[in-house]
Amino acid sequence: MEVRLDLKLETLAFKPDPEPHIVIQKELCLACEGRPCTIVCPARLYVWENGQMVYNCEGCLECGSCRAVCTREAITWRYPRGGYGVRYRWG
Amino acid sequence: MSDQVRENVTDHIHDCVVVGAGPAGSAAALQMARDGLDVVFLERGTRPGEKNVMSGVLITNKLHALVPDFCDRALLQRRIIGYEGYILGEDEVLRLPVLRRYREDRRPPPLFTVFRSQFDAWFAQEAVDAGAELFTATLVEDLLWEGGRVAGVRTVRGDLRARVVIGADGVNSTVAEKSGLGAPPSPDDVSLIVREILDLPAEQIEERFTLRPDEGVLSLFTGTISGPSGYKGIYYTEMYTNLDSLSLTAEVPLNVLQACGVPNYDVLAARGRHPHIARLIQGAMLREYQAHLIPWGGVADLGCLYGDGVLLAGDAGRFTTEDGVGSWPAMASGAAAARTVKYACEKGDFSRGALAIYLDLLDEEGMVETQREAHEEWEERKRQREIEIQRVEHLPRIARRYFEDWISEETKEECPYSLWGEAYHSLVKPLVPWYARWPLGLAAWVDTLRWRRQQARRH
Repeated sequence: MEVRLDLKLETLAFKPDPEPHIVIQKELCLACEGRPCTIVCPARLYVWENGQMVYNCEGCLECGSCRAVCTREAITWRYPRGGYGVRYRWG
Repeated sequence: MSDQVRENVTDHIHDCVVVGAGPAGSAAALQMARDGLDVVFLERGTRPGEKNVMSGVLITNKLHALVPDFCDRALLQRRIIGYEGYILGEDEVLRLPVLRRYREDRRPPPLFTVFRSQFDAWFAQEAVDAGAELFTATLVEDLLWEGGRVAGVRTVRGDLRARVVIGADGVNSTVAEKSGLGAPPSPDDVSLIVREILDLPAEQIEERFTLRPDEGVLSLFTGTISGPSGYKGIYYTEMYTNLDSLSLTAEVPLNVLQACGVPNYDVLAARGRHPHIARLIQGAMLREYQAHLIPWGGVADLGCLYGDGVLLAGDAGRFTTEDGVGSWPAMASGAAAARTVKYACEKGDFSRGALAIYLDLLDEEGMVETQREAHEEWEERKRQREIEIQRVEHLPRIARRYFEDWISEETKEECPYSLWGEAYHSLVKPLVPWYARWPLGLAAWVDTLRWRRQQARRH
């Protein structure tokens, strides 16, 4: 039985940080080739839609892959503030 | 355990502030507290272990040195008695080394599957019980500087001043980046691991893996992935038995995911569909999905582990073994960092020059040698990527040729060589230069011709 990614993400507990911990300069994504963040993000938070980058840092697993692969330095990344973000119960 | 940084804390100077309460941070805090130092350690989660994911096995050699009776006190899942290696083809699997140790003997310190949410919380509590002070839900945002040296940390809840700051804050280390000792992870040197915890009753686990209660196995599956771009790479899938669940992971270097254009959750989902793994996880329900970056290749430059008033330990310093194991090198480096701080406090000197003794103490823990090996192994793997892919793809064919010689008519297209010919093409040819391998090549060719004639007669 295969579970879809959005259902997999529902197994996780989050306390979303009202202050977004990832900020991207979307205009830099326009010229980006390959857009590796849309591939590597394990929660599929980055989606290329209608010619622009759509992202949502609420379901972030805090792995840092997006920042590591971004070639345009478009992503300003930090951890959510203390106590916020993902809570792995079985990490 | 307090979760509020006190109001008047800013003017007090601690001997050490440790950033991170994982294996490295807690080992350092525990060691310093035992040595009677004034130590504070910080965790950004609401409790230690909440943000951590590892593939699932803890090697307990360093833990044993720090807490000899951990077996009776820590929350452990199963003791690993079996190691199994597999190469996964599309619809076949080749089982390679299988080792099972049914001995009850507990030396050398055994391996256990653990949940980090449980283990890290326990290990941090050991440090708290020894006298270290833990602040949870506290994120370090920046370092405090004084006369060109690190003098503490800045958190949302206030500043904490310290003679030495130990950065044990993981692969995306704020301390490493803000101190200028390290850079953010590069896709060439980290793997992305995605993991599923799958609920399965204990009796079923024991039946499927032929185990007794409390015994566990770890299985490593290796295979190749290729994506729309045609680029090929190696993935590693690991399966671990917990008490009443299985951990199934997919680990792929970030640059391979990027080059293949395949998301790692798709790699993991495809593994779950593989007939061999599907049989093992049949009926299991997903409990939790997780992801984490795993550093590879060890510490490239030992000089980047210490600066004026600052040390790096664990993933923050990129400590790994050549097999990519991070938890025990984290504990070893944390303990060495703790002893470095003790030495610096005795001398009253917290400069980079005084903290350089860290390298000697790491060497005593065997960590310098381990990091050199890890680095060389990683460089070698990068160079031999194509050979490794070839090996992974050919070994199942060799096995098929060995076990299923008689059905060769239908698989002739796929396997044009005899057993020796196949072995030559996949194992010898990529590794040995032509002038040294030609006698073997000739022998393999003669064997293949003889075998083809024999096959033709048979049909």
